[in-house]
Amino acid sequence: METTTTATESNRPIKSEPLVELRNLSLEFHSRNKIAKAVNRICLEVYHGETLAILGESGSGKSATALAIMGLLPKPGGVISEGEIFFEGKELVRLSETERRKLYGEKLSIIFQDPLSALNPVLTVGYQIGEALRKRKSLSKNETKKRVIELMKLVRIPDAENRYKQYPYQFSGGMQQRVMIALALAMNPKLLIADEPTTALDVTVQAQIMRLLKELQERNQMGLILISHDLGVVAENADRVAVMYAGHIVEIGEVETVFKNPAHPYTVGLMSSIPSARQNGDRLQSIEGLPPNLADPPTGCAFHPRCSMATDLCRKKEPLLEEIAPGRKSACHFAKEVLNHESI
Amino acid sequence: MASYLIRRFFYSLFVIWGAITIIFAVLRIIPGDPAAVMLGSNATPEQIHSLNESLGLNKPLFVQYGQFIVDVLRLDFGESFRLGGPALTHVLERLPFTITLAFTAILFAIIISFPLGIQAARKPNGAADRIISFVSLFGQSLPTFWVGIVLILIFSRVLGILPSAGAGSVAHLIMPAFTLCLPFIGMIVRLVRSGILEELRQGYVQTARSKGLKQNFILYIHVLRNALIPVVTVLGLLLGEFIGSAIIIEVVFSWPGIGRLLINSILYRDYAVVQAAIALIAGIYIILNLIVDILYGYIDPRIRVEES
Ligand SMILES: Nc1ncnc2c1ncn2[C@@H]1O[C@H](COP(=O)(O)OP(=O)(O)OP(=O)(O)O)[C@@H](O)[C@H]1O
Ligand SMILES: [Mg+2]
Repeated sequence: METTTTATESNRPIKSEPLVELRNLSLEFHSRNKIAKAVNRICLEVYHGETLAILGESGSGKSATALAIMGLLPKPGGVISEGEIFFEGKELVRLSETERRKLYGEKLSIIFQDPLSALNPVLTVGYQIGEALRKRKSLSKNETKKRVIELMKLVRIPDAENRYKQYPYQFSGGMQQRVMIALALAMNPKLLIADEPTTALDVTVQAQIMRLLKELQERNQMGLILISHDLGVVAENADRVAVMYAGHIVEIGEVETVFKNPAHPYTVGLMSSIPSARQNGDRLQSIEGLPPNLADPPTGCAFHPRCSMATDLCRKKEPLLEEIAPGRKSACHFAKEVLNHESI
Repeated sequence: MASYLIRRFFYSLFVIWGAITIIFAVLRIIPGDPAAVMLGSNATPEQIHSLNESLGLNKPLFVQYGQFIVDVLRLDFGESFRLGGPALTHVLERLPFTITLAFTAILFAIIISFPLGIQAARKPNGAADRIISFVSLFGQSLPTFWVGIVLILIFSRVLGILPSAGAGSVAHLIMPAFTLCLPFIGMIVRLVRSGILEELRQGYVQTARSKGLKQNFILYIHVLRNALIPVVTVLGLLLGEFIGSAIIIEVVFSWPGIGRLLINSILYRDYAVVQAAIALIAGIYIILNLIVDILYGYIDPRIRVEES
């Protein structure tokens, strides 16, 4: 796996500014009689050309984080209750609607898990890919069409000239996701968020789509936030990984080191859920129990009810995400112990 | 698409057959000897008997029915004894009036309810939404004939700006068409509103927002077309109701359409005209539904291509 673009302290100029940076970002979903704290004071940053994976089980707040960065949280209901998002130094949370619209496409773009529902069923794919170019860049009809066909060829949709006029349901799942990628890349964004881009696809197609995404990322030196709950996809494609649990980032670091030597019991549990990922003979019980109710989270560490190492401290005091090694952070009171216990 | 339409066509023939069979049966169940009604109260039994003979009304029912079906296939509904001449000719003469009234009413309904529905969906449960839903519900609960009479009182008697009866000008059309569309507005407003709200939750709206498009553009270009798919279907189903309600409206406003002709013909037991009118209404209803189906395919590409 290549790690040349990795944002470790050693090979990154100290002053290099992150492309996007979340500072203590908290999100809530308000419904009639309860508030679900979907994301709690998370911090992360993504650099130019880098792939940051967000890994976590269902409901851990991955999509909510993605939507918050995009400013697409459901209204009403989705609220950023705390924190900031900086994009190229510009704060996004308090940006006006009009200002934010200017960022879409050219700076920020997103692709979703289910390409069929992300595409409008009654508009042709050609129109949908070219819509932003036509409406925002005021390209002429012919220019737009030319550019769209280029984009369709770029994402390797065969027979682009004819398929331009077709509708999303006439495409296979993999081709729909290619359409979605072409649509997201139409204006050359600096940051692409891919929210489980291959989860809805066949295994064989998954690999093709990931390869395409990585190739296009390299071409444009895009920052990529790759959301996934698939350890294999993360291992193969990401430079760094942030592990999320119940709205917290519990661990963040370079993929290789995090996977080889987790510094949080939750990550340890994740790794043990796929036997092939572990080379040593350590028997680790896979994670028992269920994630907590976000409307009524446990005290202390959110993971403590499921953690075999939990102590009184864990039940009382919430661990903060702290640096335990260069470029490596963990939110566990016993991070050092986990790390040592686990080293090969 | 073609095979689909052919299937629809045969289905339609079946429906028309059902409709005329029912009307054949119903007319013969209604109490009152038609010959007696036609000839008036001082007719002799002999006169009644001979008229029944000449109309074929004293033959066994199944013979009458067989003859009836053969005639209908030849588009021969018989002569109107009240008006003279072929019954179908009389009905066809009135047809343009009914169609004009029904279509104007549908047009009114669309022109009024679409903007209201869109406006209500912009801010669900906001002030505008509440007012719109209250007013349209109110309009829906008023009896049609009563609305018609009140409108006549206000606009013809008091203000004197609109004619109270008859046809012949655009002014004649306004009150009947409005009365006809009123009960449907509430339903269409709610359909449009809920359709839009439902569509706004869809993933493609999120995609459209992530393109940096303006909210209004998303609403009109992306959402509305999807939201209209179920609305058009329901409008298609409502067409029959529009024609049905038109019958009452035509009587209230003395509008010379099929409805008024039908009511009068029923009163006089003018079977031939009643049968011709019902068959024609059924035919129109079916043709309209076919048009809606085609329109539906136009709005929703998934149907257009799948069926071909
Ligand atoms: N529109 C919403 N209204 C209320 N709660 C929501 C909404 N969207 C998400 N949530 C809640 O927020 C939490 C985080 O959801 P999110 O979609 O971010 O999870 P995720 O990590 O993306 O999971 P998945 O792998 O299933 O996509 C969940 O508990 C979810 O129930
Ligand atoms: Mg998700």
